[in-house]
Amino acid sequence: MNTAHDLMEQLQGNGAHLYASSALATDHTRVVRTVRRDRAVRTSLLSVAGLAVAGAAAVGVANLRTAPLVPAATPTPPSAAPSTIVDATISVARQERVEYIADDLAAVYGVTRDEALDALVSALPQEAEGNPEGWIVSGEYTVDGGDIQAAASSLVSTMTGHLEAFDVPRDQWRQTVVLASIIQQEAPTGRTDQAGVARVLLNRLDQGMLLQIESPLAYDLRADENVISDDGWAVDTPFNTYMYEGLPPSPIGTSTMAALDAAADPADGDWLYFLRKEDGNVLLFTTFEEFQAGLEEQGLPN
Amino acid sequence: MTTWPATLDALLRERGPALFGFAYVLTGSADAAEDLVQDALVRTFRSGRGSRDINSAHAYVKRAITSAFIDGGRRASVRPRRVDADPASFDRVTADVAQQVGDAADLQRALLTLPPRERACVVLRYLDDMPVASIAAELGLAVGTVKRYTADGIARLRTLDLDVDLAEPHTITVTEGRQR
Repeated sequence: MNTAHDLMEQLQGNGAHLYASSALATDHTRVVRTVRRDRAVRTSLLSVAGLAVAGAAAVGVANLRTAPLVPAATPTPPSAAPSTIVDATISVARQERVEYIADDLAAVYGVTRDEALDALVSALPQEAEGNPEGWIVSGEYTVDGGDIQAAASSLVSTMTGHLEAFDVPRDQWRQTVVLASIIQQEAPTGRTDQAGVARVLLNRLDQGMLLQIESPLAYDLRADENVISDDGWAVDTPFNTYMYEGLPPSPIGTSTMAALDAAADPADGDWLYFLRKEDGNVLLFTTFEEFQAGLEEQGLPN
Repeated sequence: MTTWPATLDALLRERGPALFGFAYVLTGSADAAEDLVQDALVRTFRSGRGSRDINSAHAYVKRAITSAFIDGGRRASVRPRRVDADPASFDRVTADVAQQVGDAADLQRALLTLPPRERACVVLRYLDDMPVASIAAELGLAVGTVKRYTADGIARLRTLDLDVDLAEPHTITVTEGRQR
């Protein structure tokens, strides 16, 4: 007599054979599209909220600067330009590395990743110091004409437009973009949480404390793509904020507009510690003792 | 941290058959399995949970398959039934093959008579040799609830007089605090 386990394994094997003839085996674009759409909807909801805070005038500025690329949340006017070269959507995920955005761009225009990166670099403002990482706000962008340079400029100018809309002085642009990219990873959602984390990071910088956060190191080691062994985390890199003071040398991925808004307009408080609960919400603490107690309360090792 | 399209791609290439097979055991139909896997992939990658590496993505998708299956069970009554979910057709396809396949088909037909929660518990218990506590964690249910679902499910299978050894897998309970 066969055991239930063996028979179920057989059934699983039968099912596994059927996979090859399923539509999913050859084509999963529907999954990709649904995921992209769902993510973009969340992003644009945040963007709309952020813009509402920034005021109607800012909306005007931001939109003017993003032509001919228009975030999907904004209704696209009937095409006035008959000289449309391509018609495609570039979807920029949150916390995305710039090379993958370049890949998307390259695919649309039929160029190489390096050429797409070059186009992005030449679209950058001086403050970016030639590194396009983090200088693109996440969201869906509709390409409805122009060459790759125009598209790259529009991608980047959405960021610069927002920085202007949020009244960030130009000499603080870089810090704000770096900060936003970190906030995005440390507190992916929640305007209050993000503004709180922004304040913690700024307070630590002001006091000359080490930032002691994982995300820049994870970015540098590409921990999202590779498995890093325990001793692999002890590397000497300027992205190691347990070792080096100050912000990491570059942004660590794309941010949402909400994160950018939080970096530009942090909450008020004297917190120096934060901790992310399992549900994603962030707790803020002023003293190390409170922080320790918080860890204990959440059942985290301290 | 998104290389999620790459992870998704690799996941389907390397683990697609395994995930599909698991969904197939739960649903008993290729079409329903496909819907279920698709639903689970969207749930996983939408929240960014799948983008770390293929192993954790696999675990998340598998868990999402079980929870989507249970959720789906709640809505199943309003959905039209699929013709090929009828276990009789499965039987016809496999009836003339080896004896083993017949037993598997019997078991599958029997599984399909269980309500979704019982079915999920029984499948995780036997197929993955999962201890009750792990099933509870996986399904987000209390341990006692899982025990009851599993026991009810197995009891019902026994009444069907299958030619299957339904002895529960022997799992050693590791008490907390001694795990490491």
